[in-house]
Amino acid sequence: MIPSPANSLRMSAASTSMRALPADPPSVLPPAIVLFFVMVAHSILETARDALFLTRLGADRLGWAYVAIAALALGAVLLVRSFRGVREVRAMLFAFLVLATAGTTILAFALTQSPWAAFVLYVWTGTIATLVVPAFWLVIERDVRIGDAKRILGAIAAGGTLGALAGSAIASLLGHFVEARHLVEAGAIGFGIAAISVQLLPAARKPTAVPQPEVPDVVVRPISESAGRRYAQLLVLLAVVSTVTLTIGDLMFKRLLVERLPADQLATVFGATYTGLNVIALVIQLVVTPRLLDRVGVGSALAVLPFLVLATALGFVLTGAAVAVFALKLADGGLRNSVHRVVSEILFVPMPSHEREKAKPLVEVLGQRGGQALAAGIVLAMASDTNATWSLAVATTATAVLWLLVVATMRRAYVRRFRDKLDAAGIHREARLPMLDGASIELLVETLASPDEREALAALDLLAQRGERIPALVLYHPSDNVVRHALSLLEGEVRPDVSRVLHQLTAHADPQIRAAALAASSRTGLHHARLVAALSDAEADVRAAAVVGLSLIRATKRTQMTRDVEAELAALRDGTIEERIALAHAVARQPDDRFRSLLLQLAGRREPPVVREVLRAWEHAPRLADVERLLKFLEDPHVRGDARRVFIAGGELYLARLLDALDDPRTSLGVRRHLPRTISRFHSPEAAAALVARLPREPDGATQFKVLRALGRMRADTPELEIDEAPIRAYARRSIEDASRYASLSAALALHRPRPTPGLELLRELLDEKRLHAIERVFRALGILHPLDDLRNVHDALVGQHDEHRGAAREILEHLVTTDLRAPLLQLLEGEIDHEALREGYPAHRDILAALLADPSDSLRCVAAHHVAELQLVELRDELVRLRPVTESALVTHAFEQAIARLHG
Amino acid sequence: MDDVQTPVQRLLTLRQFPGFEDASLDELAVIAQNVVEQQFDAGATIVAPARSAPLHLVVEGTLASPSGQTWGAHEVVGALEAIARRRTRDPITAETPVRTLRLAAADFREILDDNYGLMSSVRRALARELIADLAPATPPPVRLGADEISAAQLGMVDRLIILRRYMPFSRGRIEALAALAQASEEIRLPARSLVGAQGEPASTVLVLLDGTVHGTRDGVSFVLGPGHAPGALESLAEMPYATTMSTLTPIRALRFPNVALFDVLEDHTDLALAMVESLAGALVDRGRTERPHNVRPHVN
Repeated sequence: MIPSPANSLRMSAASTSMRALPADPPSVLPPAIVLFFVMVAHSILETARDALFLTRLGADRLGWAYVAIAALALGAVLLVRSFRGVREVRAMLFAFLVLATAGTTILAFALTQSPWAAFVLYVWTGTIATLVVPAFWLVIERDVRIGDAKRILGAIAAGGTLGALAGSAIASLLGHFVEARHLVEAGAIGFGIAAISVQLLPAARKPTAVPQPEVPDVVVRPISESAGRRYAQLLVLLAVVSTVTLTIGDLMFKRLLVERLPADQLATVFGATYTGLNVIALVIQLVVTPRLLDRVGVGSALAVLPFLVLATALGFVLTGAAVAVFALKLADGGLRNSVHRVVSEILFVPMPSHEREKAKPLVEVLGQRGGQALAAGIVLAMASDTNATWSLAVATTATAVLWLLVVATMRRAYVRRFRDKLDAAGIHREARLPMLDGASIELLVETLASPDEREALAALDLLAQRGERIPALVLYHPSDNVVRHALSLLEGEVRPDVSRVLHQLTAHADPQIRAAALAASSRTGLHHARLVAALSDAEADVRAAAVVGLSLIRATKRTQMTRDVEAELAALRDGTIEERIALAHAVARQPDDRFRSLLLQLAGRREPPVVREVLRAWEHAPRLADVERLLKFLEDPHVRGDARRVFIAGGELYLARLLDALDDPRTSLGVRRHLPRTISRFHSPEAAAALVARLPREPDGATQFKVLRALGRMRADTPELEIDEAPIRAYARRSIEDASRYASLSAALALHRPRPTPGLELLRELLDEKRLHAIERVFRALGILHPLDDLRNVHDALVGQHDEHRGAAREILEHLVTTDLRAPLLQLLEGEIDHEALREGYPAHRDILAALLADPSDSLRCVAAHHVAELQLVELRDELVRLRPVTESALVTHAFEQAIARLHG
Repeated sequence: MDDVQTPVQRLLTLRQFPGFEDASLDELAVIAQNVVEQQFDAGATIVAPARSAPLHLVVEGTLASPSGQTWGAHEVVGALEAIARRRTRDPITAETPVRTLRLAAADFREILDDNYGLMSSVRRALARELIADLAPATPPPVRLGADEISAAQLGMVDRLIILRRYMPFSRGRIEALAALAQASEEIRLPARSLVGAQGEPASTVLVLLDGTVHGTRDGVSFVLGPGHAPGALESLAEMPYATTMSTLTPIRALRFPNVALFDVLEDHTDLALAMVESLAGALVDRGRTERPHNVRPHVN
C-alpha cells in the first residue's frame, strides 16, 4: 500500500480530450496481399544477393556485410524516429517501399559496374527489410487486440510466407534462364507493386473528439513506465539472442553448401532450398501455428524454435553429422517466419501503441541487425579456425541455451503486462496492514496527543493492531472516549507507568473509565478501598468491576465482605440485560477459573450482547470455554465472529475439535457451514490439509463452496502454505464439467420453444446462474493453486464486457493453467455448443426436464419439478415418483411431492 | 492538514471518516489501497452530474453544490449515489483548493462485496438513517407490490417466485432467494395479533402476502398491506422495533428469522449488496445529498 507519485493525480479545468474510437475487428486479406508482394520482392532479392555475394566476394565477407547492415539500419531507424509522430505509419510504409523500388532499380544497373556492388546490394536488402517489415507490422498492430492478433497475425504472416515462396520459386525459375543480377530488376518491380498495394490497407482512424466527463467514472491506475521499458529491453534482448543464434546457424549451413557445391549452381540451389523451406513454412503457418497457439499459448510457442535449434546444433556438436545442420536449417526455415515471427509480433500487442511505435524499430535494428552484426563478429573471429563449422555449432548451442533462458523470462514478462493491465483496471484485493517502522510509531504516538478524538482513536487502533505498546500518557487525554478505548487495550500485567495514572481514574466521572481503572487496580492489588466503595456505586459497570476484583482478592476466607460480593454478583447476574453485560464485561477483563460456571450461566441466556462478552472472556482464557457450546455459537451470526476468535485462542486442541466436527455427519448443517472459515483462520498446514481432504467428500454444496473459499483465503494470506494439489485440480475439472452441463441444458431449453411460464423463466436464469457459479468455482480452485496470480481479476475480466480485458485475462489463463484443464475451460469460456448433439440428446422439452429432475443441484430439481407441474406434463409423473426417494433433501422431496399433487389436480 | 502519502498516514486519515470508525483495519487497508489521491484547484468541478460518478473522501478544503450544501474535511461526497448506482444531480465544485481520496463507484461496490464486515457496517448505517428519517406515518421503503398469490400452501419455488418480484430481492441471485425461501415459513395470524412492540428486539422479518398490519410510532398511526415488510428496516439496522405493530385483519405472510437472513446475506453478498443499494436508493429518493456526518456507525 505504498502511494507513489503515479497514483497522485491533479485535476483542474474541464477538458475535452481526443481519443480514437475502438476499431472494428481488422480484416486479413488486404494486409496479407501487401505482405505477399513485399515478401515476393524480398525473396527474389534475397536469392539474388546471396548468389551474387557468394560468387563475387565469398562467404568470408558475409560478416562484414552484416556489420554494415546493422550500422546503416541503425542510422536509418534513428532518422525515422525523429519523424515519429509526424508521419502516419501507413504513409511511412508507403515511403519505404517507394524508396526500396528506386534504390533497387539503381542497384540493378550498378551491378554491372563493380563486383563490390554485390556488397552494397546485400547491405541494401537488409536495410530495406529492417525499415519495411516493422513498418508493415506497426500498421497491422495499430488497433489490434490480443484475441484478434492471435487469430489474424498467423493468416497475415501466411500471406508473407506465400509471398516468400512465390518469390523463391520465381527466383529459382529465372535462375535457369537469366543471370543472377537480373533477379534484382525483378525485385525492384516487386517492391513497386508492393508500394501500390499499400493503398489496400486502411488509413488510421482520425481521432474523434469525444467529450469526456470532467471526472471519468472509473479510476484506472497508471501502469509503471519502468515496467514498459523493461519489457521493451527484453524484446530487444530476445531479438538479439534469437538472431545471433539463427544467423550463426544459417552461416553454418551456407558454409556447408559452398564447400560442397560448384559456384554456378548456388543460385539455383539456394532458390530451390528456399522454395522448399517456404513450402514447409506455409504448411506450418496454416496448419500448425494456429493449433500451437491454441494449445500451448504464446509463451510455450515461443520456446519451440530455440528448443529445436538447440537439439540440432547439439546433435552436430556431438556427432558431426551434416544431417543435423540440415535439420537445423529445416527448423529455421520452417518455423522462423511462421511460428517465431508470428509469436514475436504477438509479444508487441500488450504494449500501448506509443511504446510499441518506439520499441519496434529499435527491436528490429538492434535485435535483428545488431544480432546479425554480433553473429558476424563471432563468425569472423572463428574464420581462421580449422574446424570452423563445428565451432559455429558450439556457438549456436551456447546461444540457443541463452535464447531459451530469455524466452523463460520473456514469457513471465508477457503475462505480467496483461496482469498489469487488469490490475490497473480492477481493485487491489489483497491489502495488508503496513508494518510500523520507527517513523510510523513516532507519528502514531504523536497523533495520540491530538485534540481530535477521531485521530487519537485511529492511532490507538493502529498501535494496538500491530501489538505496539500503548503509552500511559494517553490516559490523560481530554476525551473520555480515547481514555476508555486506551484502557480497554491495556491487558495483562499493569505497567508501573500506567499504575500511577490509575488512582485518579478510579474516581473518574465516566463509569466505564472508573470500571476499567478499578479492574486494572485490582490486578495490581492497589486501591482496595476504592474497590469496596465501588460495590455500592450506582453504575452497573462499576459494581461489576468491583465484584470481580474483590472476588479475586477475597477468595480465601468467607467474610461479610465475601457474602456482600456474592450477593452483588448474583444480583447482577439475575438483573437486567445491561447488568449481565456489565458483569460479563468485567469478567472478560479478568477471566479466572473461579468464573467458569458464571460464564456458562451467562452464555446459557443466549442474549447476544451478553454472549459476546462471555466470548471475550473465553478468548482471553480459552481454558474456561465450553467447546461444545462454542461450536453451537457458530450458528449465530451475531456472535459468530467472537466465537471464531475463541477457537483461534484455543489453539490446536480446539482445531482438533473443529476438524472432528467437520467430518462428523451428526454435526448440524447450521454449524457445519461455518466450520471451513473458522478452520481457515488457523493458517496451519494441518488445517489446510483437512479442508483439502474434505473438499471432494463434502456432500453439502454450500459447505463445499465454503471449503473452497476458506482454502482460497488461506492460500492468499499464506501463499507458502503447502497443499495437496490433486484434489483441487479434480474439483476444478468437475466444476468445468458442471458449467458445460449447465451451458448445454440452457441451450437445450431454447431448442423446442416451450410455452413461456414463470417456472421456465426461472429455470433459464437458474441454469445461467449455475453455469456462471461453476465457472467462478473453477477460478476459485485455480486461485488456490496459484495464490499470487489474482485469479479473481482474471475471472471478472473473462465474464465482463471489456474485450481488451477479456483478451488479457485469456492470455494469463493460457499461461497458468495446465493442458488438461486449459482446453475444456477455454472451450467453455468461448461458449461453444454443439446444437446438433443437443437435438439428438434432447428430442423433446420433456427430455430436458427429465435430465433436470435428476440433476445434482437441489434448487434445479425443485424448479424443474415446479415447471413440470406448471406445464401439466403428466408423462413425467413416473420420473417424479422414481426420483423422489433418491434425494435426502426434505426440500426436494417436498417440491417433488407438491408437483405430483399438482399433476393429479 | 492531513498528510496521506504514507500507508500509515492514509489509514489514519481514512479511520476518521464516518462509517469507517468501526471498520476493521484489515478492511480499511483494502480501501486505502484502492483510493487515489487527487488535488483540485479552486473552481474545479469535482463531481459532475453523471451516473456512477466516483465518491470523494475529502481530506482538506471545502466543496459546495449549487443548492448551497457544503462539504469539508472528513466528509464523503457522492457515497449514496455511488452505492445506489444513481446519477448525481448537481455539480459539486471546489470552493478552495481541495484534496480528496477518490474511489470509483464500481470499486467501492466491489470492495463492499468482498468485505462483508464493511458491507454490514454500511447496511446498518443506512438502515438506521432511514429509520431516523422516516416520518412516523410513512411506510418503510422496503415496499413490496401486491400480487396474485395461490391460496394453497406455498412451496419453496412458489415463495422464490414471489420474492423475486420485489425489490430488493429481484436483484439477488436465484440461489440466494432459494436459500431465503427455504429459510422462510408461511404464517397466518388472526386479527389483533402483536407483530412487534416498539423497543423490543426485532428478530424476524415479515413479508406480508395478505391482510393488513396497523402500526403506531410516536402516537401517529399507519397501515401496512401486502407487499410491505414489517420489521425489515429494524432487522437490517440491527435495532429494536421502531414502531409497535399489530394485525388489523387476519394476515398471511412469509417470515424469516434474522439469523437466517444474515446467514443468507453473508453467503450471498450479491443479495446483501442489492439490499444496501436499495437502502441507499431510498435515501437518495428522499432528496438527500450525502452528508456523511449523518451516517452513524454501528456500535455493538
